[in-house]
Amino acid sequence: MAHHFFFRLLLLFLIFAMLGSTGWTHDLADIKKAGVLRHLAIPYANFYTGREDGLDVEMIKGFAEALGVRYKLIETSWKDVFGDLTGHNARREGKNAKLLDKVPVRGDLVANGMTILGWRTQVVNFSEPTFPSGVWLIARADSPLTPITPTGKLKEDIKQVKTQLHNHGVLALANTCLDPGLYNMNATGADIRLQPKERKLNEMVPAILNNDADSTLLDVPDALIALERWPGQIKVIGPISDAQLMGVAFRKDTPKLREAFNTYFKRIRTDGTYNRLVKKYYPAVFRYSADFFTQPAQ
Amino acid sequence: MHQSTFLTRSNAIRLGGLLLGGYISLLIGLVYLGQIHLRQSLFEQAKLTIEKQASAVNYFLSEQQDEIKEFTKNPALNNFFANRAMGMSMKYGLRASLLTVQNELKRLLNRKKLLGQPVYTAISFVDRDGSILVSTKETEKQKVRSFHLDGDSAPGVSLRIFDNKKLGYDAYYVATIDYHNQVTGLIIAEVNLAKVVLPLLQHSENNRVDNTLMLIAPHDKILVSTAPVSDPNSFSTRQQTTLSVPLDDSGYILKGIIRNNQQMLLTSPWFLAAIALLSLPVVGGLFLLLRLNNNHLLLQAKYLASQQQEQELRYFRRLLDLSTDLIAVIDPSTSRYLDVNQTMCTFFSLDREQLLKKKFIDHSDTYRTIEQWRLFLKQIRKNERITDEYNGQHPDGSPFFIEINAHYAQLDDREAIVAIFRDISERKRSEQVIQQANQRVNAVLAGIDAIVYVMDMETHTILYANTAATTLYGDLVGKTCWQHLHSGQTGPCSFCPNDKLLGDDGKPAETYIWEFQHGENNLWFHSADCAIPWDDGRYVHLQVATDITARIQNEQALQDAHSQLEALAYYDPLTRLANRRLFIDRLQHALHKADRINSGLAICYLDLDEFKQINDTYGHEAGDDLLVQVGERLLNNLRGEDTVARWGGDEFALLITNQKDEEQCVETLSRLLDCLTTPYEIRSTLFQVTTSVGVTLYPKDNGDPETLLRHADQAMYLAKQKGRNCYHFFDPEQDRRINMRLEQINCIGKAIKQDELRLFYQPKIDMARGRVMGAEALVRWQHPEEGLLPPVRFLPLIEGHRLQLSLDWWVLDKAMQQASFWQTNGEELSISVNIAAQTIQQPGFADRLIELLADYGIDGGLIELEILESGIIDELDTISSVIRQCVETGISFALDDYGTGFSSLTHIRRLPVQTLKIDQSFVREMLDNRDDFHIVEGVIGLARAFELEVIAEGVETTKLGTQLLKLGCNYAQGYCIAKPMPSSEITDWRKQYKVPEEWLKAAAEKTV
Repeated sequence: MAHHFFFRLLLLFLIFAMLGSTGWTHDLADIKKAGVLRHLAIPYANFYTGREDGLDVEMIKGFAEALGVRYKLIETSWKDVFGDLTGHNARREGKNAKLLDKVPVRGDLVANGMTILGWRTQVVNFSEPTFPSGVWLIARADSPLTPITPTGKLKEDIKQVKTQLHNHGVLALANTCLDPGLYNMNATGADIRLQPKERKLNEMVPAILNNDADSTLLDVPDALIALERWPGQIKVIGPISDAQLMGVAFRKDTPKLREAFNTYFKRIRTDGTYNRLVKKYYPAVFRYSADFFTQPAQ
Repeated sequence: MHQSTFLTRSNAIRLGGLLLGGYISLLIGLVYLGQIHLRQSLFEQAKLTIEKQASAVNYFLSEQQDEIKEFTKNPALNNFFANRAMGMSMKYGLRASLLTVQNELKRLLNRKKLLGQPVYTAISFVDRDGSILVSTKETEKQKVRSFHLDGDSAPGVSLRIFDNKKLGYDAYYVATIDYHNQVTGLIIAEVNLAKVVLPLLQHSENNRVDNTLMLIAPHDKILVSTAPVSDPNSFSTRQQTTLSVPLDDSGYILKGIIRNNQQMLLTSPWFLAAIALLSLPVVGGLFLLLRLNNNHLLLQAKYLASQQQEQELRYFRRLLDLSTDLIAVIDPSTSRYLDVNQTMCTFFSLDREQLLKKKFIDHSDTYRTIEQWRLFLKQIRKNERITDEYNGQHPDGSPFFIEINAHYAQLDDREAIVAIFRDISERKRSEQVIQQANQRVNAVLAGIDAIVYVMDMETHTILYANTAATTLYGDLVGKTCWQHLHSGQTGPCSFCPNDKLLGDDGKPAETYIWEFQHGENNLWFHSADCAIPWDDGRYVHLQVATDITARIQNEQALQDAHSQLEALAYYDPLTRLANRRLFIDRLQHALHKADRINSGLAICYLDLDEFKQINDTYGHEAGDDLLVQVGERLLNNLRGEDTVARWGGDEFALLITNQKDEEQCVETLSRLLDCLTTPYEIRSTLFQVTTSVGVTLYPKDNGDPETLLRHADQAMYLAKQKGRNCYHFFDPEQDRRINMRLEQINCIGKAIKQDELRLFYQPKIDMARGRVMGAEALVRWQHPEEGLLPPVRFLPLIEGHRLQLSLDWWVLDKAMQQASFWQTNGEELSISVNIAAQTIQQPGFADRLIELLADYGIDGGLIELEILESGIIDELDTISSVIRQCVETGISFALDDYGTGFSSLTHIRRLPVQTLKIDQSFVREMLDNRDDFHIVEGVIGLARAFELEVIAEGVETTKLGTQLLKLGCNYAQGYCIAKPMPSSEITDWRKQYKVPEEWLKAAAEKTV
């Protein structure tokens, strides 16, 4: 009997240990108690430059300060980001998310300009939109692809771009906002070349300059930076996606934390702090999405 | 006293008046001059201020102009146009570029400040259609002015003025933007006139608020003024001075209006006038006194001048006398000398008086006649300056040459000829000497056959050419060298630069041969060039060229003959391929080279298969054509560094270099065989021939050329044996073994001749009866160095060789000699001799054997011949016949080593042999090996069946003998009985030998 008792105790301990590594709730109160806010970020455009600065780094630093806790930046990758936040790796399958293996949780929120996509909302909760986005097709300057003439209707513009893509090489990155499955790219007849999971979004343009393909999918913030960084070497063909929004991702079991962030975000939008940060990192974005930044905070 | 007279009152008054007048005049003058200088100074100061200000404004404007111009090259603009050129739309991407441009515009606006104020009020980026793309001021679009790129947009930067209805004018810098050499847009910067340019003018006016500065644009548009524009006209021109300073070439003017301030002056003009009137009488008296004094001074001056003239006259006379030239003044009417200098007197050895009595024409041979003198006068009166040379004679009769330079002059109202003579007698003599020398040199140069000419090193113009050169080329002097010397050239050629003239040591460079196309003939010259100094001191190019055409032609003829001889000596006349001699020469060189660079060679011997048949069938001419074509194919399929030689007949030799191994060579050989088997078309008939190739590879086969060729030849024969149309590689190791064997065979031959072989005898006994039956003669070699050698060391080497015959006859001879000796000495011992089947087959064998028996006088029954069964297979009938012939003389035969070979019953049946000899290999092992026992038993049974004797060899133990006896074999030989021994020991052995008891016992039991 005693033998059986110890065996059951050990089993219970193991179950708790697994729960602790995967499904462990760590909401606002726990964060305040721990005294640290762990910010997961993937180097991406000027949201997180990879050098401990960026729009989202400054924004989350301010959030940590507002909570009265220490700020800790934890770098991750597109492959691991959901695992690091929720304890379950995940990837897109069709229009849905598929949960994969379990891994230890490493952070409390993800903020690096993550696009709010349908399948992702099945895995995480997003904050109020923090940044407008979209995906454009960027081509090398000498590519036969030609920039479209805007019609004033986004759908028409997307159609114009896609009709050009037959047999053209297009770089894409699965499980990110550049995932070709999100935009029904297979129907275009384009030669979709999925990049290695480790590739960062800001490495897409160097890849087409290196003749890996004629063109690449690229989110608007990255495209704006690329146009400044490689002037005359690339061109914007036109939009691939509908208008998109970005937000901060939270585990589904941390609603308090999300709510605290939304409150914080509303405050910095109202007092102009956020727009100053945006102007610092994305001065051009006001030209594109002036409405987003001028509208009153939700 | 005299002094007091001078100091009279009037004089004192005059003096006082003079002093007073002078003082007043001085005072007035100083005041007046001070007034003028002061006014001038004030004006200059104002002018300097305006000019300085103009410079500052000019600098400011040009700096802004440069800045705006520089901005048009800003990468952001270029990027915008590049993106637009790629077709990007504002909505998708282009607006980002535009925003970058706007940021750059703002940076420029904020950066450009003067006196704390922005230089520009707004900067705009304007498209080619005049629309403002982006501006630092959002409201700027409402102020769009008509900036078009068509008419008024010359590339560059300009300052333009626009009428501002309310406030005057606005000034804009308008700069064109170039993209891919086309004007694609404008940068328009509005200058902050009111807050920057106006303070700039005010700032440096040195607080002279009564002066006005204005910046005026073309067409008198006043852009900026430090005073209200209407004010300048409120002053009369006397009260103000206007000064305009243009600003470079821009058409802009900085205008300054300077007010004249009268309070600055010291006194009034009326005062100055009154003072001036008062001083007039004083000045008048003073003037009178001065006039009187002046007259006195004039007289004094004339006297002094007269004295000075006299001094000058003496001075000039002295100068004339000291002149080295002869100077004379001649009366034109009489030609008499009017005046001469001392030099002339000295020249004619006359004093002046004497010479003045002489006439010019007396001293001149040239002008001695009256006609000549008149001509001289006529010329000189036309105001012509005459320069001439003439000759004359001294009073002592010695000749002289004079150069005269004369002109007509009017001296003291009298006509005269002024002549300057120069004694040029010495120069004339020198010229004569040089002329004579030149004539001699010319005569020499004209007389030699060599071409001599001199050329200007810079212009390549011929300065001199001797007769030989002129005869060959025509008139050369004054023409450039390439026009005549290097026909066909249109400019200086490689010969013209004269860097070959002097060597490094500064001496003339080496001579060279120069070929020249003269008409249809080629001429050759042996040319020697050098640089020599010319008249003007510069160095010129001297060429002396000797015609060596005949020599060159002779040498060429000799060389042609030599080439023909060489072709005959080194090449095959039919195929034009290398012959043996050349091939061996090249092979030797190739071997040296291969050793040096550690590479390999292939030496091939090539023979056409069945060439003779073609030759016989189609004739030698067809055969020759075939050989030529084969040679061509070989050449075409080998590299240039390889050698193909015709060895003779239909044999060729190839030398293929850089062959590292057999594998590489096989590729080449396969290619060659393929190309050679392709059909040949000869006289409209197609032939196909095959080739056999023998190859040896160096250094694997490390021999001299002859050895290598011999080996290739051997390999070629092996290729033929292999079936033709193939190649065979010579194997050096095999060759070495064959040579060693041949050498050993030679040694054996020598041993036979030099009587180094010995016969040993091994007894054969009848074991049953204990009796010696005979002995087998066994050959040994008493080698001079290695001692006594057993037969196994040398007999196998001569097996099948003709030496076997010699050995067999030597053994027969010695054995018969021994048998004869024993017969004579009562030993009665038969001798068995091993004989080769081929020896028996020799024609006349039996006759010679019988003859030998007769020679030694012995009975045939004393000789038994042992032959190997394997040697008789092919020629059974022949051998059988010979044996029968010999048997008739009593000689018996045994089949040796029976059981080891075919053990044929046919052999036993058909050969008239008497004995079977069981091989010792079976006998030795028969007690331990059942198979051997059965063989021995079988052979014994066979002998019994055919009624033959049987003898066992190799009986080494008593047991073996006992067993053989039991099986029915009574005869034996072996170590158990006796080892082979010299003949001299046989007698003693016989005496002491006793048959083992076991054998006798066994024989007895068998018998029972």
